[in-house]
Amino acid sequence: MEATFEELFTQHKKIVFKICHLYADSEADREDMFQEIALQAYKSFQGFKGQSQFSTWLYRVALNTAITWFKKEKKRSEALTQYAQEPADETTNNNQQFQAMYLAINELNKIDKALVTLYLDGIDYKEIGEILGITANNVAVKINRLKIKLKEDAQRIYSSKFG
Amino acid sequence: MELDDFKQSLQESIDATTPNQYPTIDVREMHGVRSVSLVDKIRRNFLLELGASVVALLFFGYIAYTTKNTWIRQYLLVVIPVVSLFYVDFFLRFRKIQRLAPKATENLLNHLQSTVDIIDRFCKNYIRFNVCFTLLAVFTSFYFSAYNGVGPETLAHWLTKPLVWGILAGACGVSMWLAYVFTKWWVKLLYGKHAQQLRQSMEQLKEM
Repeated sequence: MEATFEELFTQHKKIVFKICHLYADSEADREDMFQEIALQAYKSFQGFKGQSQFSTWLYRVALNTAITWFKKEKKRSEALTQYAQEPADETTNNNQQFQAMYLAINELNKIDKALVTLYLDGIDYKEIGEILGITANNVAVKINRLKIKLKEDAQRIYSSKFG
Repeated sequence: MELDDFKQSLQESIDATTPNQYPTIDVREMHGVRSVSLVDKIRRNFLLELGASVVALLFFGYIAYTTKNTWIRQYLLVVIPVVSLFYVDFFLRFRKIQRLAPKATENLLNHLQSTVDIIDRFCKNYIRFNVCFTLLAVFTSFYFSAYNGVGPETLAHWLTKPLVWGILAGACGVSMWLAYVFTKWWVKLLYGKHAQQLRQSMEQLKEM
């Protein structure tokens, strides 16, 4: 069982990595969160019967852990900005727009961030609803609203930061 | 940029810039890893307090056994068993709360609900325990110091007067109120902000 878990987790750890980047502010926090998600997934793996895809199951564990993660409040560190700037060695317009959208997503509350994360990974509305505990219709409505909001926010950030 | 355009760019960005940053996991090492989840932190804090209290009770038990002072001995011989019973009750309630611990695999809404419930129940029990503990401390301190100071006959006479009961009730009431305020402030300091954030997230999900 341990070997199976390790193999599956290694194959899908990009999911965990993505969530850590969206929910933790600093590199140290990301590592702690990654460790905690891995631990919670390992502890829960016995209950994984393969009824859903491992990736969906891992999303569930990762989001539950990330959103309820207990960390003493700190001021948002510059690490977040640093990640947003990672792909921006080239100062192309596209990269700047990418950064603006990334920062706009990071400004969302934890729940909206979870919705966007799942949407960005191509998970269908029904599964997103099951992961979050809401209906697929509500997911669709909320995603449409978020698309509009993010477009506006990203534009605002782009104008103020790069305009 | 639209969200759908960002989707592709994000994937490329993660693939291009971060593959070496993914930590590797070794399942064998996980057996010794301590979870930092809130529920586990509450459990550890509780067990630490319980452990410290057991050591303190043993120490006071030793004092009760060795002291020549009758008043202190009588006081401790009453207080130690009662406090121990308090702790047993608190521990059993805590075990019951622990069984409600959220599962990492349930949906987010249920997970948030379970986590908030567990924090609320623990805080409620913790506050109740400290208030009862204070009542016990104030009442027994009064009783034994009066018993030792003025003697059993005078004490029995005092206890027939409504004024004495009034003062005693007032002292107990004020102490319990202070204990309530202090413990509530303490648990709020430890878990309050986090619980509030979880409640907010839960409300946001429910409002969808």
